[in-house]
Amino acid sequence: MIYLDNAATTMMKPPGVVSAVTEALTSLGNASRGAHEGALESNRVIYRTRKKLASFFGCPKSEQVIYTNNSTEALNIAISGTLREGDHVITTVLEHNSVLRPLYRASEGRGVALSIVPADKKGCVDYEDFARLIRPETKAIVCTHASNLTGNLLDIRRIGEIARAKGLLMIVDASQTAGSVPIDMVRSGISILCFTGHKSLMGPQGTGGLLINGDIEIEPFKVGGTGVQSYLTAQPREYPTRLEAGTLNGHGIAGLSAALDFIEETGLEKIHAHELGLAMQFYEAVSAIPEVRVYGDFSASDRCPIVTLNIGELDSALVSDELSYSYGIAVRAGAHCAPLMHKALGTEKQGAVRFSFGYFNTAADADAAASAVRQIAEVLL
Amino acid sequence: MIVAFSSTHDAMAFEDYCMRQGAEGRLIPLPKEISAGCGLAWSAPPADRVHVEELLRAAGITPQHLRELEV
Amino acid sequence: MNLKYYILFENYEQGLALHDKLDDAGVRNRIAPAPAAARGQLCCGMSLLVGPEEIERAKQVIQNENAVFHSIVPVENPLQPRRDRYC
Repeated sequence: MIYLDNAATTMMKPPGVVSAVTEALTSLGNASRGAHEGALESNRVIYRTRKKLASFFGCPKSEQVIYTNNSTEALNIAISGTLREGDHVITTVLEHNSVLRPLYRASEGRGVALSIVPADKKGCVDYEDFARLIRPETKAIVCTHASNLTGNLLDIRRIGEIARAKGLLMIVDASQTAGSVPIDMVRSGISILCFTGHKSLMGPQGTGGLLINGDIEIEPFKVGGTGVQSYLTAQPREYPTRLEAGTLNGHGIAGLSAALDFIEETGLEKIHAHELGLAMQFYEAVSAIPEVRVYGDFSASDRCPIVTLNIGELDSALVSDELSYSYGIAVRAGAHCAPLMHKALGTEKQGAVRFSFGYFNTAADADAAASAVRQIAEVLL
Repeated sequence: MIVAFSSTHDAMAFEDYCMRQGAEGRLIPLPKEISAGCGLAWSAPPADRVHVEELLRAAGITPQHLRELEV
Repeated sequence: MNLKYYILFENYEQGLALHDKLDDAGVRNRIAPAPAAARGQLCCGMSLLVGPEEIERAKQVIQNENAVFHSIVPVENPLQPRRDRYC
Protein backbone atom coordinates (compact mmCIF):
# COMPACT_ATOMS: atom_id res chain seq x y z
CA MET A 1 0.00 0.00 0.00
CA ILE A 2 1.13 3.54 -0.73
CA TYR A 3 -0.31 5.39 2.24
CA LEU A 4 -1.21 9.00 1.45
CA ASP A 5 -3.83 9.64 4.13
CA ASN A 6 -1.54 11.06 6.83
CA ALA A 7 -3.93 13.96 7.46
CA ALA A 8 -6.38 11.36 8.80
CA THR A 9 -3.72 9.53 10.81
CA THR A 10 -0.08 8.56 10.33
CA MET A 11 -0.03 4.83 9.73
CA MET A 12 3.71 4.39 10.06
CA LYS A 13 5.01 5.26 13.55
CA PRO A 14 8.70 5.59 14.48
CA PRO A 15 10.05 2.28 15.88
CA GLY A 16 10.69 3.89 19.28
CA VAL A 17 6.98 4.62 19.63
CA VAL A 18 6.06 0.99 19.10
CA SER A 19 8.60 -0.25 21.64
CA ALA A 20 7.65 2.43 24.18
CA VAL A 21 4.00 1.35 24.07
CA THR A 22 4.93 -2.33 24.24
CA GLU A 23 7.13 -1.75 27.27
CA ALA A 24 4.46 0.40 28.95
CA LEU A 25 1.93 -2.39 28.49
CA THR A 26 3.95 -4.61 30.82
CA SER A 27 5.29 -2.09 33.30
CA LEU A 28 2.89 0.75 34.07
CA GLY A 29 0.49 0.90 36.98
CA ASN A 30 -2.14 3.62 37.36
CA ALA A 31 -0.74 7.11 37.92
CA SER A 32 -1.78 8.93 41.11
CA ARG A 33 -3.36 5.82 42.53
CA GLY A 34 -0.49 4.63 44.71
CA ALA A 35 3.13 5.10 45.64
CA HIS A 36 4.46 1.72 44.52
CA GLU A 37 6.89 1.47 41.62
CA GLY A 38 4.17 0.64 39.06
CA ALA A 39 2.12 3.74 39.89
CA LEU A 40 5.22 5.93 40.25
CA GLU A 41 6.58 4.81 36.88
CA SER A 42 3.28 5.79 35.29
CA ASN A 43 3.40 9.15 37.10
CA ARG A 44 6.93 9.74 35.80
CA VAL A 45 6.00 9.02 32.19
CA ILE A 46 3.00 11.34 32.45
CA TYR A 47 4.93 14.13 34.16
CA ARG A 48 7.92 14.02 31.81
CA THR A 49 5.74 13.97 28.74
CA ARG A 50 3.84 17.02 30.03
CA LYS A 51 7.17 18.83 30.27
CA LYS A 52 8.15 17.76 26.76
CA LEU A 53 4.80 18.96 25.36
CA ALA A 54 5.08 22.29 27.21
CA SER A 55 8.53 22.84 25.75
CA PHE A 56 7.48 21.67 22.28
CA PHE A 57 4.56 24.12 22.06
CA GLY A 58 6.04 26.98 24.10
CA CYS A 59 3.55 26.66 26.97
CA PRO A 60 4.89 28.45 30.08
CA LYS A 61 3.55 25.96 32.67
CA SER A 62 3.73 22.21 32.29
CA GLU A 63 0.96 21.76 34.85
CA GLN A 64 -1.31 23.52 32.35
CA VAL A 65 -0.77 20.75 29.79
CA ILE A 66 -3.96 18.68 29.94
CA TYR A 67 -4.19 15.20 28.39
CA THR A 68 -7.22 14.19 26.34
CA ASN A 69 -8.01 11.35 23.95
CA ASN A 70 -7.67 13.55 20.85
CA SER A 71 -8.10 17.12 19.69
CA THR A 72 -11.88 16.69 19.36
CA GLU A 73 -12.09 16.11 23.11
CA ALA A 74 -9.67 18.99 23.74
CA LEU A 75 -11.77 21.35 21.60
CA ASN A 76 -14.98 20.29 23.32
CA ILE A 77 -13.40 20.97 26.74
CA ALA A 78 -12.02 24.34 25.61
CA ILE A 79 -15.23 25.51 23.94
CA SER A 80 -17.79 24.25 26.45
CA GLY A 81 -15.54 25.19 29.35
CA THR A 82 -15.05 28.85 28.42
CA LEU A 83 -18.22 30.06 26.68
CA ARG A 84 -21.30 31.31 28.52
CA GLU A 85 -24.70 32.61 27.50
CA GLY A 86 -24.46 35.95 25.77
CA ASP A 87 -20.88 35.41 24.57
CA HIS A 88 -19.99 35.91 20.91
CA VAL A 89 -17.41 33.79 19.09
CA ILE A 90 -15.61 34.25 15.76
CA THR A 91 -14.60 31.22 13.72
CA THR A 92 -13.94 30.42 10.03
CA VAL A 93 -15.21 28.28 7.14
CA LEU A 94 -11.91 26.37 7.22
CA GLU A 95 -12.95 24.53 10.37
CA HIS A 96 -13.34 20.83 10.95
CA ASN A 97 -16.58 19.56 12.53
CA SER A 98 -14.64 19.14 15.78
CA VAL A 99 -14.66 22.94 16.02
CA LEU A 100 -17.98 23.59 14.27
CA ARG A 101 -20.20 21.11 16.10
CA PRO A 102 -19.22 22.21 19.62
CA LEU A 103 -19.74 25.83 18.49
CA TYR A 104 -23.13 25.05 16.91
CA ARG A 105 -24.14 23.27 20.11
CA ALA A 106 -23.08 26.26 22.21
CA SER A 107 -24.98 28.51 19.83
CA GLU A 108 -28.19 26.46 19.89
CA GLY A 109 -28.12 25.29 23.48
CA ARG A 110 -26.45 28.10 25.34
CA GLY A 111 -27.27 31.29 23.49
CA VAL A 112 -23.73 31.86 22.24
CA ALA A 113 -23.65 34.01 19.09
CA LEU A 114 -21.45 32.85 16.22
CA SER A 115 -19.78 34.72 13.33
CA ILE A 116 -17.99 32.82 10.59
CA VAL A 117 -15.16 34.36 8.54
CA PRO A 118 -15.58 33.37 4.87
CA ALA A 119 -12.91 32.20 2.44
CA ASP A 120 -12.40 32.68 -1.29
CA LYS A 121 -12.25 29.94 -3.92
CA LYS A 122 -8.62 29.25 -3.02
CA GLY A 123 -9.59 28.76 0.62
CA CYS A 124 -7.95 32.02 1.75
CA VAL A 125 -9.42 34.41 4.34
CA ASP A 126 -9.30 38.20 4.56
CA TYR A 127 -7.70 38.89 7.96
CA GLU A 128 -9.54 42.22 8.24
CA ASP A 129 -12.74 40.21 8.64
CA PHE A 130 -11.65 38.98 12.07
CA ALA A 131 -11.36 42.54 13.39
CA ARG A 132 -14.53 43.66 11.59
CA LEU A 133 -16.60 40.95 13.26
CA ILE A 134 -15.55 41.80 16.83
CA ARG A 135 -18.36 43.13 19.07
CA PRO A 136 -18.45 44.22 22.73
CA GLU A 137 -19.59 40.73 23.77
CA THR A 138 -16.98 38.83 21.70
CA LYS A 139 -15.24 36.37 24.01
CA ALA A 140 -13.04 34.30 21.72
CA ILE A 141 -11.65 33.55 18.29
CA VAL A 142 -11.67 29.80 17.68
CA CYS A 143 -9.85 28.74 14.55
CA THR A 144 -7.79 26.04 12.93
CA HIS A 145 -4.06 26.45 12.27
CA ALA A 146 -4.53 24.72 8.88
CA SER A 147 -7.42 23.49 6.75
CA ASN A 148 -7.57 19.69 6.65
CA LEU A 149 -8.99 20.01 3.14
CA THR A 150 -6.79 22.52 1.33
CA GLY A 151 -3.70 22.42 3.55
CA ASN A 152 -3.71 26.26 3.67
CA LEU A 153 -2.23 27.70 6.85
CA LEU A 154 -3.90 30.50 8.78
CA ASP A 155 -1.52 33.17 10.06
CA ILE A 156 -2.26 32.49 13.72
CA ARG A 157 0.28 35.05 14.91
CA ARG A 158 -1.64 37.75 13.03
CA ILE A 159 -4.99 36.51 14.35
CA GLY A 160 -3.46 36.22 17.84
CA GLU A 161 -2.49 39.91 17.72
CA ILE A 162 -6.04 40.86 16.78
CA ALA A 163 -7.35 38.74 19.68
CA ARG A 164 -4.82 40.11 22.17
CA ALA A 165 -5.55 43.74 21.23
CA LYS A 166 -9.18 43.19 22.24
CA GLY A 167 -8.57 40.92 25.24
CA LEU A 168 -10.11 37.91 23.50
CA LEU A 169 -9.32 34.26 24.05
CA MET A 170 -7.54 32.66 21.10
CA ILE A 171 -8.37 28.93 20.86
CA VAL A 172 -6.46 27.09 18.12
CA ASP A 173 -7.07 23.68 16.58
CA ALA A 174 -3.57 22.39 15.74
CA SER A 175 -4.70 18.95 14.54
CA GLN A 176 -3.04 19.33 11.13
CA THR A 177 0.06 21.24 12.21
CA ALA A 178 1.28 19.82 15.55
CA GLY A 179 4.42 17.89 14.64
CA SER A 180 4.69 19.44 11.18
CA VAL A 181 4.76 23.23 11.58
CA PRO A 182 6.52 24.96 14.54
CA ILE A 183 4.09 26.45 17.09
CA ASP A 184 4.98 28.84 19.92
CA MET A 185 1.94 29.64 22.05
CA VAL A 186 3.40 32.71 23.68
CA ARG A 187 4.77 34.29 20.48
CA SER A 188 1.52 33.64 18.62
CA GLY A 189 -0.72 34.84 21.45
CA ILE A 190 -2.53 31.49 21.70
CA SER A 191 -4.62 31.11 24.86
CA ILE A 192 -5.59 27.46 24.43
CA LEU A 193 -3.93 25.08 21.94
CA CYS A 194 -5.69 21.81 21.10
CA PHE A 195 -3.68 19.02 19.52
CA THR A 196 -3.87 15.36 18.65
CA GLY A 197 -1.07 12.82 19.07
CA HIS A 198 -1.80 10.48 16.20
CA LYS A 199 -1.33 12.65 13.10
CA SER A 200 1.94 14.54 12.40
CA LEU A 201 3.20 13.93 15.94
CA MET A 202 3.29 10.24 14.93
CA GLY A 203 2.09 9.02 18.32
CA PRO A 204 -0.63 6.50 19.12
CA GLN A 205 -4.32 7.08 18.58
CA GLY A 206 -6.05 7.95 21.83
CA THR A 207 -3.56 10.70 22.75
CA GLY A 208 -3.87 14.44 22.54
CA GLY A 209 -4.48 17.41 24.77
CA LEU A 210 -4.92 21.07 25.35
CA LEU A 211 -2.32 23.53 26.60
CA ILE A 212 -3.40 26.59 28.55
CA ASN A 213 -1.35 29.80 28.37
CA GLY A 214 -2.22 32.14 31.24
CA ASP A 215 -4.84 32.35 33.98
CA ILE A 216 -7.82 30.98 32.13
CA GLU A 217 -10.76 29.38 33.88
CA ILE A 218 -12.05 26.33 32.04
CA GLU A 219 -14.97 24.51 33.64
CA PRO A 220 -14.53 20.73 33.50
CA PHE A 221 -16.27 18.72 30.81
CA LYS A 222 -16.22 15.57 32.93
CA VAL A 223 -15.67 14.99 36.64
CA GLY A 224 -14.72 11.86 38.54
CA GLY A 225 -11.83 9.99 40.08
CA THR A 226 -8.52 11.83 40.33
CA GLY A 227 -6.58 9.69 42.79
CA VAL A 228 -6.09 12.72 45.03
CA GLN A 229 -8.40 14.61 47.42
CA SER A 230 -10.84 11.71 47.38
CA TYR A 231 -13.05 13.18 50.14
CA LEU A 232 -13.86 16.33 48.14
CA THR A 233 -17.29 16.06 46.55
CA ALA A 234 -16.30 18.52 43.83
CA GLN A 235 -13.56 18.07 41.23
CA PRO A 236 -10.28 19.59 42.50
CA ARG A 237 -9.74 23.03 40.98
CA GLU A 238 -6.02 23.03 40.25
CA TYR A 239 -4.68 22.13 36.80
CA PRO A 240 -4.15 19.58 35.41
CA THR A 241 -6.37 17.59 37.79
CA ARG A 242 -9.38 19.83 37.18
CA LEU A 243 -9.68 18.65 33.58
CA GLU A 244 -8.37 15.07 33.91
CA ALA A 245 -10.90 12.78 35.58
CA GLY A 246 -10.36 9.05 35.26
CA THR A 247 -7.35 6.96 34.32
CA LEU A 248 -5.10 8.57 31.74
CA ASN A 249 -3.96 6.68 28.66
CA GLY A 250 -0.53 5.95 30.19
CA HIS A 251 0.42 3.46 27.47
CA GLY A 252 -0.47 5.93 24.76
CA ILE A 253 1.34 8.77 26.52
CA ALA A 254 4.46 6.60 26.71
CA GLY A 255 4.25 6.26 22.94
CA LEU A 256 3.63 9.99 22.50
CA SER A 257 6.73 10.69 24.58
CA ALA A 258 8.84 8.52 22.27
CA ALA A 259 7.30 10.28 19.26
CA LEU A 260 8.31 13.68 20.66
CA ASP A 261 11.85 12.34 21.18
CA PHE A 262 11.94 11.19 17.55
CA ILE A 263 10.83 14.62 16.30
CA GLU A 264 13.40 16.31 18.54
CA GLU A 265 16.22 14.07 17.32
CA THR A 266 15.24 14.24 13.66
CA GLY A 267 14.39 17.96 13.66
CA LEU A 268 10.93 19.45 13.06
CA GLU A 269 12.19 21.63 10.18
CA LYS A 270 13.69 18.58 8.45
CA ILE A 271 10.45 16.62 8.84
CA HIS A 272 8.33 19.48 7.50
CA ALA A 273 10.68 20.13 4.57
CA HIS A 274 10.58 16.46 3.57
CA GLU A 275 6.76 16.18 3.74
CA LEU A 276 6.16 19.47 1.99
CA GLY A 277 8.75 18.66 -0.67
CA LEU A 278 6.86 15.50 -1.59
CA ALA A 279 3.53 17.33 -1.64
CA MET A 280 4.94 19.99 -3.96
CA GLN A 281 6.50 17.34 -6.22
CA PHE A 282 3.06 15.70 -6.50
CA TYR A 283 1.32 19.07 -6.96
CA GLU A 284 3.60 20.11 -9.81
CA ALA A 285 2.99 16.81 -11.61
CA VAL A 286 -0.82 16.74 -11.26
CA SER A 287 -1.44 20.43 -11.84
CA ALA A 288 0.00 19.92 -15.34
CA ILE A 289 -2.81 17.44 -16.19
CA PRO A 290 -5.59 19.39 -17.99
CA GLU A 291 -8.54 17.53 -16.40
CA VAL A 292 -7.21 17.98 -12.86
CA ARG A 293 -8.41 20.79 -10.60
CA VAL A 294 -6.32 21.36 -7.44
CA TYR A 295 -7.78 23.29 -4.49
CA GLY A 296 -5.89 25.60 -2.17
CA ASP A 297 -3.28 28.32 -2.23
CA PHE A 298 0.05 26.96 -3.49
CA SER A 299 1.62 30.40 -3.77
CA ALA A 300 1.84 30.76 0.03
CA SER A 301 5.31 30.59 1.59
CA ASP A 302 4.29 27.70 3.82
CA ARG A 303 1.47 25.16 3.94
CA CYS A 304 0.63 21.64 5.08
CA PRO A 305 1.68 18.64 2.94
CA ILE A 306 -1.85 18.21 1.55
CA VAL A 307 -2.92 18.24 -2.11
CA THR A 308 -6.67 17.99 -2.72
CA LEU A 309 -8.03 17.67 -6.22
CA ASN A 310 -10.77 16.52 -8.54
CA ILE A 311 -10.44 14.87 -11.95
CA GLY A 312 -12.98 16.45 -14.32
CA GLU A 313 -16.49 15.76 -13.01
CA LEU A 314 -15.63 12.29 -11.75
CA ASP A 315 -17.18 11.42 -8.42
CA SER A 316 -14.36 11.75 -5.87
CA ALA A 317 -15.47 8.53 -4.18
CA LEU A 318 -15.08 6.56 -7.42
CA VAL A 319 -11.64 8.07 -7.99
CA SER A 320 -10.47 7.21 -4.48
CA ASP A 321 -11.86 3.70 -4.79
CA GLU A 322 -10.02 3.24 -8.10
CA LEU A 323 -6.80 4.54 -6.53
CA SER A 324 -7.17 2.11 -3.66
CA TYR A 325 -8.44 -0.96 -5.50
CA SER A 326 -6.42 -0.79 -8.69
CA TYR A 327 -3.31 1.09 -7.61
CA GLY A 328 -3.00 0.34 -3.91
CA ILE A 329 -2.92 4.07 -3.08
CA ALA A 330 -4.76 5.12 0.08
CA VAL A 331 -6.33 8.60 0.06
CA ARG A 332 -9.46 10.20 1.48
CA ALA A 333 -12.43 11.37 -0.57
CA GLY A 334 -15.76 12.88 0.28
CA ALA A 335 -16.52 15.65 2.74
CA HIS A 336 -13.55 15.36 5.11
CA CYS A 337 -15.66 16.57 8.08
CA ALA A 338 -15.19 20.08 6.64
CA PRO A 339 -18.63 21.00 5.27
CA LEU A 340 -18.14 24.79 5.16
CA MET A 341 -14.83 24.51 3.35
CA HIS A 342 -16.42 22.30 0.69
CA LYS A 343 -19.25 24.86 0.33
CA ALA A 344 -16.70 27.66 -0.09
CA LEU A 345 -14.83 25.68 -2.77
CA GLY A 346 -18.03 24.55 -4.54
CA THR A 347 -17.23 20.85 -4.04
CA GLU A 348 -20.25 19.77 -1.99
CA LYS A 349 -21.72 17.43 -4.60
CA GLN A 350 -18.51 16.02 -6.04
CA GLY A 351 -16.46 15.89 -2.86
CA ALA A 352 -12.72 15.96 -3.43
CA VAL A 353 -9.77 13.57 -3.28
CA ARG A 354 -7.17 14.42 -0.64
CA PHE A 355 -3.56 13.24 -0.84
CA SER A 356 -1.63 13.92 2.39
CA PHE A 357 2.06 13.14 2.75
CA GLY A 358 3.93 12.03 5.86
CA TYR A 359 7.55 11.71 6.98
CA PHE A 360 7.82 8.08 5.92
CA ASN A 361 6.55 8.69 2.37
CA THR A 362 9.09 8.79 -0.45
CA ALA A 363 9.57 10.49 -3.82
CA ALA A 364 8.57 7.18 -5.44
CA ASP A 365 5.22 7.37 -3.61
CA ALA A 366 4.60 10.88 -4.95
CA ASP A 367 5.55 9.76 -8.49
CA ALA A 368 3.32 6.69 -8.35
CA ALA A 369 0.36 8.75 -7.13
CA ALA A 370 0.82 11.36 -9.86
CA SER A 371 1.07 8.62 -12.48
CA ALA A 372 -2.14 7.00 -11.21
CA VAL A 373 -3.99 10.32 -11.36
CA ARG A 374 -2.74 10.81 -14.93
CA GLN A 375 -4.01 7.36 -15.97
CA ILE A 376 -7.40 7.88 -14.35
CA ALA A 377 -7.68 11.27 -16.07
CA GLU A 378 -7.05 9.57 -19.44
CA VAL A 379 -10.51 8.02 -19.10
CA LEU A 380 -11.89 11.49 -19.72
CA LEU A 381 -9.93 12.13 -22.91
CA MET B 1 12.11 14.44 56.76
CA ILE B 2 8.77 14.46 54.95
CA VAL B 3 7.87 16.90 52.20
CA ALA B 4 4.15 17.05 51.35
CA PHE B 5 2.93 18.67 48.14
CA SER B 6 -0.28 20.38 47.08
CA SER B 7 -0.27 18.60 43.72
CA THR B 8 1.01 15.43 42.10
CA HIS B 9 2.68 17.60 39.50
CA ASP B 10 4.84 19.24 42.20
CA ALA B 11 5.66 15.83 43.71
CA MET B 12 6.81 14.44 40.36
CA ALA B 13 8.70 17.62 39.55
CA PHE B 14 10.59 17.37 42.86
CA GLU B 15 11.41 13.68 42.36
CA ASP B 16 12.63 14.46 38.85
CA TYR B 17 14.84 17.27 40.13
CA CYS B 18 16.27 15.21 43.01
CA MET B 19 17.03 12.27 40.71
CA ARG B 20 18.97 14.55 38.40
CA GLN B 21 20.87 16.01 41.35
CA GLY B 22 21.55 12.58 42.83
CA ALA B 23 19.87 13.63 46.09
CA GLU B 24 18.95 10.97 48.64
CA GLY B 25 15.28 10.22 49.23
CA ARG B 26 12.23 8.74 47.54
CA LEU B 27 8.49 9.14 47.06
CA ILE B 28 6.26 7.38 49.59
CA PRO B 29 2.52 7.37 50.31
CA LEU B 30 1.52 10.51 52.25
CA PRO B 31 1.57 9.57 56.00
CA LYS B 32 -1.87 9.76 57.61
CA GLU B 33 -0.57 12.35 60.11
CA ILE B 34 -0.29 14.90 57.31
CA SER B 35 -3.06 16.32 55.16
CA ALA B 36 -2.08 17.54 51.69
CA GLY B 37 -3.37 17.89 48.14
CA CYS B 38 -1.31 15.01 46.83
CA GLY B 39 -1.09 11.43 48.07
CA LEU B 40 2.66 11.23 47.38
CA ALA B 41 5.26 12.64 49.76
CA TRP B 42 9.05 12.88 49.56
CA SER B 43 10.97 11.08 52.30
CA ALA B 44 14.57 12.12 53.03
CA PRO B 45 16.90 11.40 56.01
CA PRO B 46 16.02 13.67 59.01
CA ALA B 47 19.46 15.28 59.10
CA ASP B 48 18.86 16.55 55.59
CA ARG B 49 16.39 19.40 56.36
CA VAL B 50 18.59 22.24 55.16
CA HIS B 51 19.58 20.32 52.05
CA VAL B 52 15.94 19.50 51.27
CA GLU B 53 14.95 23.17 51.69
CA GLU B 54 17.74 24.14 49.26
CA LEU B 55 16.60 21.55 46.75
CA LEU B 56 13.00 22.81 46.95
CA ARG B 57 14.15 26.40 46.39
CA ALA B 58 16.36 25.44 43.48
CA ALA B 59 13.56 23.38 41.90
CA GLY B 60 11.16 26.31 42.28
CA ILE B 61 8.66 24.22 44.28
CA THR B 62 6.74 25.41 47.33
CA PRO B 63 5.86 22.43 49.53
CA GLN B 64 2.55 22.21 51.33
CA HIS B 65 4.32 20.87 54.46
CA LEU B 66 7.87 20.12 55.54
CA ARG B 67 8.08 18.02 58.73
CA GLU B 68 10.17 15.56 60.61
CA LEU B 69 8.14 12.42 61.16
CA GLU B 70 8.81 8.81 62.13
CA VAL B 71 7.63 6.66 59.22
CA MET C 1 -19.01 2.01 -18.67
CA ASN C 2 -19.98 -0.49 -16.04
CA LEU C 3 -23.06 -0.52 -13.83
CA LYS C 4 -22.61 -1.23 -10.15
CA TYR C 5 -24.94 -1.13 -7.17
CA TYR C 6 -24.06 0.73 -3.99
CA ILE C 7 -25.84 -0.15 -0.76
CA LEU C 8 -25.82 2.99 1.42
CA PHE C 9 -26.02 3.24 5.20
CA GLU C 10 -26.44 5.78 7.98
CA ASN C 11 -23.33 4.58 9.79
CA TYR C 12 -20.43 2.14 9.67
CA GLU C 13 -22.04 -0.28 12.14
CA GLN C 14 -24.96 -0.90 9.79
CA GLY C 15 -22.56 -1.28 6.86
CA LEU C 16 -20.22 -3.71 8.55
CA ALA C 17 -23.11 -5.77 9.91
CA LEU C 18 -24.57 -6.32 6.43
CA HIS C 19 -21.07 -6.93 4.98
CA ASP C 20 -20.69 -9.87 7.41
CA LYS C 21 -24.15 -11.22 6.54
CA LEU C 22 -23.49 -11.04 2.79
CA ASP C 23 -20.10 -12.72 3.25
CA ASP C 24 -21.74 -15.50 5.29
CA ALA C 25 -24.29 -16.00 2.54
CA GLY C 26 -21.58 -16.14 -0.12
CA VAL C 27 -22.78 -12.98 -1.90
CA ARG C 28 -19.81 -11.19 -3.48
CA ASN C 29 -19.57 -7.66 -2.12
CA ARG C 30 -16.89 -5.25 -1.03
CA ILE C 31 -16.60 -2.13 1.07
CA ALA C 32 -16.19 1.01 -1.03
CA PRO C 33 -16.49 4.76 -0.52
CA ALA C 34 -20.10 5.85 -0.98
CA PRO C 35 -20.38 7.83 -4.23
CA ALA C 36 -20.74 11.51 -3.37
CA ALA C 37 -23.43 12.10 -5.97
CA ALA C 38 -25.53 9.14 -4.81
CA ARG C 39 -25.56 9.71 -1.12
CA GLY C 40 -27.01 13.24 -0.95
CA GLN C 41 -27.19 14.43 2.65
CA LEU C 42 -26.36 11.01 4.04
CA CYS C 43 -23.17 11.28 6.00
CA CYS C 44 -21.82 7.77 6.08
CA GLY C 45 -18.90 7.43 3.70
CA MET C 46 -18.98 3.66 3.62
CA SER C 47 -21.05 1.64 1.19
CA LEU C 48 -21.19 -1.95 -0.02
CA LEU C 49 -20.45 -2.42 -3.69
CA VAL C 50 -22.34 -5.25 -5.40
CA GLY C 51 -22.26 -6.23 -9.06
CA PRO C 52 -25.45 -6.48 -11.18
CA GLU C 53 -25.20 -10.28 -11.17
CA GLU C 54 -25.36 -10.39 -7.33
CA ILE C 55 -27.79 -7.60 -6.47
CA GLU C 56 -30.93 -9.75 -6.34
CA ARG C 57 -29.25 -12.22 -3.98
CA ALA C 58 -28.06 -9.29 -1.85
CA LYS C 59 -31.63 -7.98 -1.60
CA GLN C 60 -32.77 -11.45 -0.55
CA VAL C 61 -30.20 -11.55 2.26
CA ILE C 62 -31.28 -8.07 3.42
CA GLN C 63 -34.87 -9.24 3.60
CA ASN C 64 -34.14 -12.58 5.28
CA GLU C 65 -31.82 -11.02 7.89
CA ASN C 66 -33.90 -7.86 8.46
CA ALA C 67 -30.72 -5.98 7.78
CA VAL C 68 -30.70 -2.21 8.30
CA PHE C 69 -29.61 -0.07 5.38
CA HIS C 70 -30.52 3.27 3.87
CA SER C 71 -30.94 2.68 0.15
CA ILE C 72 -29.55 0.91 -2.90
CA VAL C 73 -28.45 3.08 -5.80
CA PRO C 74 -27.20 2.04 -9.23
CA VAL C 75 -24.17 4.00 -10.46
CA GLU C 76 -22.43 3.95 -13.81
CA ASN C 77 -18.71 3.89 -13.11
CA PRO C 78 -16.75 5.33 -16.05
CA LEU C 79 -13.50 3.94 -14.71
CA GLN C 80 -12.42 0.50 -15.90
CA PRO C 81 -10.59 -1.42 -13.23
CA ARG C 82 -6.91 -1.79 -14.12
CA ARG C 83 -6.06 -4.81 -12.10
CA ASP C 84 -2.83 -5.46 -13.94
CA ARG C 85 -1.40 -1.94 -13.88
CA TYR C 86 1.59 -1.06 -11.69
CA CYS C 87 3.11 2.33 -11.12
